[in-house]
Amino acid sequence: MSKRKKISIGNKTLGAISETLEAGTAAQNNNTHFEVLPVAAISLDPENPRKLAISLEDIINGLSKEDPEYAQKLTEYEELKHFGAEIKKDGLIQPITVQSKGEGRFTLVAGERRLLGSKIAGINRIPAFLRASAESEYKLKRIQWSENAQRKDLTPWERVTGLYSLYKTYLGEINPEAELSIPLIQELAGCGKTEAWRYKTLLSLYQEKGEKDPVIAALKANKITNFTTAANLVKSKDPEKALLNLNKKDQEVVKQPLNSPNSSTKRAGRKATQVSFGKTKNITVAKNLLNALADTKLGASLKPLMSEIDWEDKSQISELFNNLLKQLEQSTKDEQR
Amino acid sequence: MGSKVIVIATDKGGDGKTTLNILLSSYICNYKLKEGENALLIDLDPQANASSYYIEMVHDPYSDVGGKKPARHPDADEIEGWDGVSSSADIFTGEDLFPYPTRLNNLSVLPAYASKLEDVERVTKQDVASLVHDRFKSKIEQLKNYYSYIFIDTRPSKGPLTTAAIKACTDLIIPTKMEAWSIEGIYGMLQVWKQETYSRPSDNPIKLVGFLPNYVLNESLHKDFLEEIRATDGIKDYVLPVELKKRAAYSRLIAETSDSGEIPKFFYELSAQDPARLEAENVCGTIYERIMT
Repeated sequence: MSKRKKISIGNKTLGAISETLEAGTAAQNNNTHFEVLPVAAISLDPENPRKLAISLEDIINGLSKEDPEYAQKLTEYEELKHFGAEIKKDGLIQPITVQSKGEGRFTLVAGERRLLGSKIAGINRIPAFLRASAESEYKLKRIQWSENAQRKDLTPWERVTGLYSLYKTYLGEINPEAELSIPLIQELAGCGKTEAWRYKTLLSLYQEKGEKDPVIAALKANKITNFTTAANLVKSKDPEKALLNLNKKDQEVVKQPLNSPNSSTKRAGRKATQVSFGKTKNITVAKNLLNALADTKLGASLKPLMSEIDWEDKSQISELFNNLLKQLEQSTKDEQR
Repeated sequence: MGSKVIVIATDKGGDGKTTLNILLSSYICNYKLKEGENALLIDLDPQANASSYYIEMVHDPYSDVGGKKPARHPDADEIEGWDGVSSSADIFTGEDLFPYPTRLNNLSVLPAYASKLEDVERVTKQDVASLVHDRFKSKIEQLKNYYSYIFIDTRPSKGPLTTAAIKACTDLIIPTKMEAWSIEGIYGMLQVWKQETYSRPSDNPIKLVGFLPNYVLNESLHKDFLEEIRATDGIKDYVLPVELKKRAAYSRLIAETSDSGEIPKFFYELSAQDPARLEAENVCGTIYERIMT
């Protein structure tokens, strides 16, 4: 007697079910979860150094001319309004990160400009990565630190207090015996040795004397806004005298983000004596650039030469551009006579 | 361990959601609830079958699907300014909730009100999150303070009410007949579950308790399908190791409307050796173990 042929559900259905189970299970095991949350349910973290003067309340209630920070807030508002319009048009590429407070409320971990920009644009819901409420405070502060490092600048005061706060959570959760050493600061701040030395100088002083110290007090009052100057001041023979002699340059706000290639930690050597327009290995890029120049009045002398050179020969292309530069230099000299 | 919010959902009708819901809720209330603990059944299905099992329901003339609404609440006369009717639809309109008592003294019911639930579902895509999902989730969070178990019955769909239930639940069970369309229907409901896993933090997971083979007949198609899903890698761990057969006894329990207690209304009122009782105890016991681990 032949065996009865079994009836099958089918590989297509079984495969689809199995894949969905796998995806859902993987999502469960992953720590970062995602939701599209009401903007109104998210509030800022009072302990995270603010990058902006303008607050959620200012946006909801409007700015007041009596506010001492009115001018700055107005500038920020306009920038955020523009940013918000872009988000409304193109969507938010990178979700913000929040932590649940329970009862449908959330605290912002990272993404202040995205949140405020969305609020101004009247966007009701914002995509957000959710962190579990039991997540370590140390991990939270690390995220906030790296978010701050990649976005807008912080004042030296905010850098010192921010890193100190991170160090304290490290002591509390990871290693209570940890000393404020250069390697530890490098790890926490994600910076090089020189910058770590500056942090150590200022943090040690902050830890030992707090705001009673004149240099720390000056940092808090935003009287020294250059981080390098602040650290050097501490190490000078007479810091108090040096404080009085701060020149204008030291009082300028450091405009670069903490870890940008142009930040004072990386710049070394003499001042540049000439302008360099960069290099490229890409012939198409070079050709397009020269074609664009040739179409302008300034580069008109290039036009007849464009069909004569060998575009595979990079040295010929370089010479073409250098010759234009020399011609322009000469004509500038001629004009000045 | 916190309160459990248990949802039984399918994409396809007739797979035994409501039957499983009433078996499981009566099992937990009779066997597992401790002194002082309470349970609540929330019926989000306009058909109101789960509500009808536990309390008196009347026909709702405004329902699109010939659904039902609750009869007057037994405490209606004691509360001034109230029309005497409370339902699960009130969760979405923000009105006070007055769950109905049942024959089980530790189980209350927030019954369905068909036309009102149908109105709730008539939201635009833009508003569904705030008007349906968020409101329901927020109310469930409050109710968890009063009830150790909340059972939610849903209609066969992936619409706003079912999705709201899944977004609020701690445990999800998907019953399925051992037939092609029912098993295919699992896929649809799993999409909702998967989507929900993306937004659950690790301290508030949504557990897929499993697929319960339901209405299983002793014939080759059902046997083959059951054997196949129990053997398929990637699926077999989610198929519960028990099944509910198609039994007239369950139908009789549902049909019984008398409150006299002479004719069994709950499966544990059947004789101790009754195969239906033994099966229900086994199935519900297995599901309960999985929920509690």
